[in-house]
Amino acid sequence: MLWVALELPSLPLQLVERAGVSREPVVICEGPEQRPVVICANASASSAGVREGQAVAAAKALVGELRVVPRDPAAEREALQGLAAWAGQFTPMACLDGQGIALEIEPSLKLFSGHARLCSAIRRGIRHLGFHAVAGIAPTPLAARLFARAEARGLHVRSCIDLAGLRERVADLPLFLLDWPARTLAHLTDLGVLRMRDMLELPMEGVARRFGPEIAIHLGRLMGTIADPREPYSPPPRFRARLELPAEADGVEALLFPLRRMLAEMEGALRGRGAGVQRLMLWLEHGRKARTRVEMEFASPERESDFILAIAREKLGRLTLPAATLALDLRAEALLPYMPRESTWLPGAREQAIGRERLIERLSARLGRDRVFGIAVGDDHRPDRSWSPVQPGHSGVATNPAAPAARPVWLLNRPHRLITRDDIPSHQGELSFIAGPERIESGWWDGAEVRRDYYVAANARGETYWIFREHRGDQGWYLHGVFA
Amino acid sequence: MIPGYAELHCLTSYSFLRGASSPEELVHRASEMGYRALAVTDECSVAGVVRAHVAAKELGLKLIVGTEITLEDGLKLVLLATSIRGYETMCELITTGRRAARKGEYRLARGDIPAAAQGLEAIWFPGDIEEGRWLASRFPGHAWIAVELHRGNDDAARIEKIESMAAELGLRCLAAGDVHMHERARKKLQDVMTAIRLKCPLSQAGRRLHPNGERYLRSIGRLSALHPARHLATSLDVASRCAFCLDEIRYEYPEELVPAGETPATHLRKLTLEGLARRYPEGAPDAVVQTVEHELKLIAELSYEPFFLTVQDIVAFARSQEILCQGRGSAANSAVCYCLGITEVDPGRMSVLFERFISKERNEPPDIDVDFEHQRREEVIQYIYRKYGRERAAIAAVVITYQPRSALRDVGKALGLSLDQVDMLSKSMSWWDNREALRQRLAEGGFDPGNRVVREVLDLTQQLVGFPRHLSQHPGGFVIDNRRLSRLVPVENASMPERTVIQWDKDDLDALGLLKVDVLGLGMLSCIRRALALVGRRMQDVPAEDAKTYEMIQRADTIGVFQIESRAQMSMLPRLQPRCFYDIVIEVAIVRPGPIQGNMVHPYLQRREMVRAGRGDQITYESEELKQTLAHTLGVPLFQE
Repeated sequence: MLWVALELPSLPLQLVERAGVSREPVVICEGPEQRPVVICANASASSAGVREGQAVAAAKALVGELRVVPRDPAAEREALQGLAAWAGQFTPMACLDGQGIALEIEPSLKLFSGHARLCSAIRRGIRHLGFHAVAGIAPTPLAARLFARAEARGLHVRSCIDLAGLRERVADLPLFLLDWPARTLAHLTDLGVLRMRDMLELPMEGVARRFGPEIAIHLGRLMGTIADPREPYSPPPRFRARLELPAEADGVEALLFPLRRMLAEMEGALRGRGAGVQRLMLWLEHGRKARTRVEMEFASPERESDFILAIAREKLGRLTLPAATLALDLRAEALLPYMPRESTWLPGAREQAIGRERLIERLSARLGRDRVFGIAVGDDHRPDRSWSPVQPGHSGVATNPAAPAARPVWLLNRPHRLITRDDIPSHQGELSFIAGPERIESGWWDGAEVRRDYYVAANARGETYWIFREHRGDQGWYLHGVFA
Repeated sequence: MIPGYAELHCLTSYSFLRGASSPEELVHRASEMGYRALAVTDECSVAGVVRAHVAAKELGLKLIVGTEITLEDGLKLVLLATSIRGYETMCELITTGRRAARKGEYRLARGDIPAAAQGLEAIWFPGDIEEGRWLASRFPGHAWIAVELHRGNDDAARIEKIESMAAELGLRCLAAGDVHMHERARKKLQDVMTAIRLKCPLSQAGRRLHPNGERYLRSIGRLSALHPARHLATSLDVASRCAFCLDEIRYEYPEELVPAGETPATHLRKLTLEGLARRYPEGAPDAVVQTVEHELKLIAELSYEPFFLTVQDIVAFARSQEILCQGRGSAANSAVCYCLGITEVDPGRMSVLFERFISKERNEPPDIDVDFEHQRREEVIQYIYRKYGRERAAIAAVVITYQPRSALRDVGKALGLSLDQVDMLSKSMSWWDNREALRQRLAEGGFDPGNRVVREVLDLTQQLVGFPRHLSQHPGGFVIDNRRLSRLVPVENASMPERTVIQWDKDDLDALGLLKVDVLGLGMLSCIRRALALVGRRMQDVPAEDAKTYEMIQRADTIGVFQIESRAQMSMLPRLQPRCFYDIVIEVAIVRPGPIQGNMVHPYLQRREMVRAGRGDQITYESEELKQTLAHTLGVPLFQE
């Protein structure tokens, strides 16, 4: 087995800064209300002398305009769950573990061409999500966690990929990296047991008797002598993510950066389940319960963040926001099976079809869904009704397959009266008839009766038109369509 | 010079809910337009040809009998009869197709089309060229390609395409019109009919409607502007091959009724004389014998013997099964019918007028209607089927036509009215004659009388009324032929299982001089039969001219008495005071729309009063000839002859 432990140092602060690093000093506080204590401080606050463990009052004394955010364990947990769901794309065995997540990657090594590439893919991915994580690789999850913490402390540890070398690799690491009770650690320090090496040399029965069996078991699990089974995190069958912006965002552009992070998280989570989303809801929260809804719908299930972001960009670009945005909430309530798009050497009909779908989505996002439609052959003799708009990609209800021939692709919305000389119609020059007359007399029953003789006619420039002579009313000549 | 043209593809209203003009209208228009001939080619039917034939004969237009058929695989063709042989083949083919499908439908495949059939020309409506190749091989030398132009998308290209097909197949092109109506103005009605046939409103009929109103009998000038002259000329060539005329068809009486060694005449004479002896055991009065001789002579002159024999045979069967039966109508005027047991009117007691029944001058086939007990009529029908077989006996058709109510319902549906609205309209229907009252009624029903849809519905309903809707079976009119009946006229399934009807109705049969035997059901006969059983008497035991019975009749005590039980009859009886059988005959005749509307009732009653008062000699007649005819009815023409 091979485990990767991801440690997110200062997770509470990361959550606050995920949507964008703030220049103002920020601290996260925890503890009793009367005397909250700083547990993390951002770069700006640290440079002003704010340290972990300081009382918030003391920190405020150091920095005038200090933003104090109370720790939110629930949000941290949600973030870790989201991360575990996202990591599902790398391995089915992803679980929450302390202040991070642990992934069992051995079965995925082949797919990702080795642990080094896999780990760098994971690190890169996490960066895209807006998180900072350090990773440790070891044959047991506890050892991997230990390495990650060491890394986080700036200790350089070489990853270990087999149990045989584990003892040597952990030997130099300090015991305080372990999640052991402070009392136990103090006791061991008093005994002069400071590093793993010292600890592992002690007889286990004695350790168990003296410090409790859980310490012995922990060591055994860490060293791989006792099994350490984990339960993989199984995400709920929907996707929800909420992100608070570091500062009020006035425009739409400012929303795209945090949105990209959320979409990347969603993509990973969807990949892990082989799913996609067809309907996506984005709420822009403006404070005081004011919200703006942005709905995205796709022709087929989608998950690629770049594509969805492009659609969202078009949608957002057409919005006028009532107020500045404070937070984003992204929700997909139904996850659908995703059909991956194949890419082949040569683009064929299928690729073009996919391209068309994408084009339709982009067009309808930009122009409005009601303005992008397909054309289906309608079941009526009247040219105005012999076609009807349909949803893109649908062929309409084919009631009668025998469609008439020789119809122009472009039919004018309203026939255009032609000028005539000696009763010969002209349009950009005198028209001569190529075919016709095709007589159409129909529709007397619904008040839109048509009685016309249609001709295909061309002018001297070779432009071909579909014109008709009206038999009702003015008996005039009209242009109705243009042949390509 | 104006080219000649013969329309070889024309549907009448007997292609139900397709053709929007009657055969007569089409024939008249074709004649007006100067067409050299008109082929009536209803879809798998000849139901309209007799009407067209009669009209065409009057106008001197050449009528061609044909049929349009679409095979199961989509191949569409028209067959035209060029000789009686071809006509018979055609009838057989239609019968095959009709018998193989449900009522009103037909099913024919390529295998059903006889190979190299004589006396038929086949016109193909181009589809896949393979179809044409097949048809050309099926009708070598007698297959043609139709070029039908209706100002479609590109008629010139169409001509070119069909001509190239024709060249490949070695066939000649002819111009045809796919005529559905006699004039363009019927287009709306034709659209409505199509929608009714498709069972959908017009708005959903879409391209299944014709794109324009060109499928009418166009003027020769218009046609020659559209079609190359050679195509028009070919239509004449084909028409000239069609020498068959409906007058040629010959009906033959069944032969088996005459025993070997006898002729129909001798056999009828023998049966009649036997009957005479039975009717008058003490010897027939001379007058009766003379009448019988006179009638037999007239029957022989007109060769109607087999007809009398046929009826006699059916009646004899009924008698043998103790089924009460009674000839009615003008047959009661025949002494021969009395002798044969068909009727019960004793020529010795009444003066019969045989010429009312058969007359050489009128040259109409006799009409013997026989009523049977209604509950046992089916036994008689089954006897006929058994005796002659289903190939030779079938029931005449009745053309069911649109009545105002049914027309309104169908038109309303086609124009998209809701059922409630149609109901509402049909309630106001009795006001249709009066425009102002109708407007008022419509307004009351929530309709705007000026509304376009309402106007269209009313207008089209009036047009549709009277159009044939489907063929049904006649109550009991049998046609029996000596050969296969389906050679004479196609036979199709009726809605009643095991019943078959021919495609012609009573008028068609009369027009062609075919004889039919009416086997009708009469509830009163069942009633009489039971009454006789209750009193333990036979029909023959009922005394004639019973005075007590007449007394009851004079008091109008006639509830339940056939013919004179209605309110109107009962109110007339005390005034007319019938005293003999002939008075009853007058009583029945006088309470009818004709005499009442013609104001004949009072003059007659007055004159009768004069006779009773002994002033009969004061009755005046316009002339001596009229006196001979009208003396029976005291100079008032009560009967409708």
